[in-house]
Amino acid sequence: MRKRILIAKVGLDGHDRGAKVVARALKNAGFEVIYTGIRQSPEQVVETAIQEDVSLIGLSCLSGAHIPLFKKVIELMKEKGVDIPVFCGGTIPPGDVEILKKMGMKEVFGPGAPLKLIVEKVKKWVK
Amino acid sequence: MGEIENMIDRIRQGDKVTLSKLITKMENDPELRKEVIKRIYGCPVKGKIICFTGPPGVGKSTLIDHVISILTERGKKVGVILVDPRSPYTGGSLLGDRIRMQRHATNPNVFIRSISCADNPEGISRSVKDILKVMGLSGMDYIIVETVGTGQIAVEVSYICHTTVLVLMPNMGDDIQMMKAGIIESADIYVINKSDIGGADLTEAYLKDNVEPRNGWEPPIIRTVGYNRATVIPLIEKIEEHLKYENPMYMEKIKGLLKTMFLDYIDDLACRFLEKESKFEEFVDKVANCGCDYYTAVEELYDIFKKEVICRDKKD
Repeated sequence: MRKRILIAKVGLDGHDRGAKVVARALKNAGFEVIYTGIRQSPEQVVETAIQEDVSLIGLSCLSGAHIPLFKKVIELMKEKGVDIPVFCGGTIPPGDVEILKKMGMKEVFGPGAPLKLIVEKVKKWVK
Repeated sequence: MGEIENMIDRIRQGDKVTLSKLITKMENDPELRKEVIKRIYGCPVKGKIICFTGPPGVGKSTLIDHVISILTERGKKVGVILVDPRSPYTGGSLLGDRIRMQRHATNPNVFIRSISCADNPEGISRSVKDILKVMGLSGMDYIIVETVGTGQIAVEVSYICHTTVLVLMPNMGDDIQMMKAGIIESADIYVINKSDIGGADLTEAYLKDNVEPRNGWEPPIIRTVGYNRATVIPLIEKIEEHLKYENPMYMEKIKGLLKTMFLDYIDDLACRFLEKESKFEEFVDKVANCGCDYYTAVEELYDIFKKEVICRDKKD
């Protein structure tokens, strides 16, 4: 069984180093990673996740707009009747972490999050 | 197996979620793939299959992005299968073709799916041939396939597709490269992408010297520039022209494809037999330790295969 993960960057944000590093780590851990590239709308992310039939979505945002954008992704999934787990990362203020987790994020990875930890968690979520 | 029939019905009605789910199932389960194909074999397929092949980095995905734009503007429905390599070391893959065409992600007339490929040096995986059949049920007018960046031997795709487009770019090698057998002989349309970077004249001259008419079709050579959509329009016109062209060798082409598919399935059966056969490892050990040569080992395994699998199946 191949395990497919979507890594996506939402909003007007060109900082893709983090998303690429995570995508590469997951590829090296044996996952099939689909990377959308930068400046995606929540609609693009959800539609891509459906067409690619992924088991997990990783969202990245470093622009500060993470709360409304990630929220929109989760709302759109509900609208479309799909239920795919989501984790996220980026420059996210510590105060926002709880808000994002309440929203349904499996985990929030900030700058400096060890790749080993990310891969371990992802392996647990995608069995 | 009522579930499969249900899914096929929903795909016929254009349900993208079900199409996407069935593709996943077909990729993961060769037995299910077989059941699906047995059910839909012989169903008329509307969509024309266009294949883009060529070395990595020449701009296949970017060209496909323009092709999707132009075709959907003309009211067509387009399905796209993007094949990228899977690591032989970790099994992982980074499927990065669709990044060039994400503007079409939300277009209801477009369906894009990325697939990883490890088991075929010819640029498409075995499951892709079956997946194309299923996509064909969903009412798409065109199905575009992008192969793994391929070098010289991706001929098989030309059997699967109605039209094969080989994408090249300037400065990829001298005329000797063009004279080699294989992929250069197999395309219906040749594209020199990135033709603004210089060197395109020479590439075109080399191509012209080596591309020959086949069965009444003279393969055109088209220059494109990835960031200039207008340059892609002549490519679309040539694709349309080729789709209308009636290849007198069509049956031969289909038979060629079928032969490879027969061989693929035999290979599959043999692999599954070996996975379960405990003597396989024993024989490998024996050959590794110079106990016998590998021809003898394979012949003995083949005898077991004949006795156990073929005779057993006959009893069933």
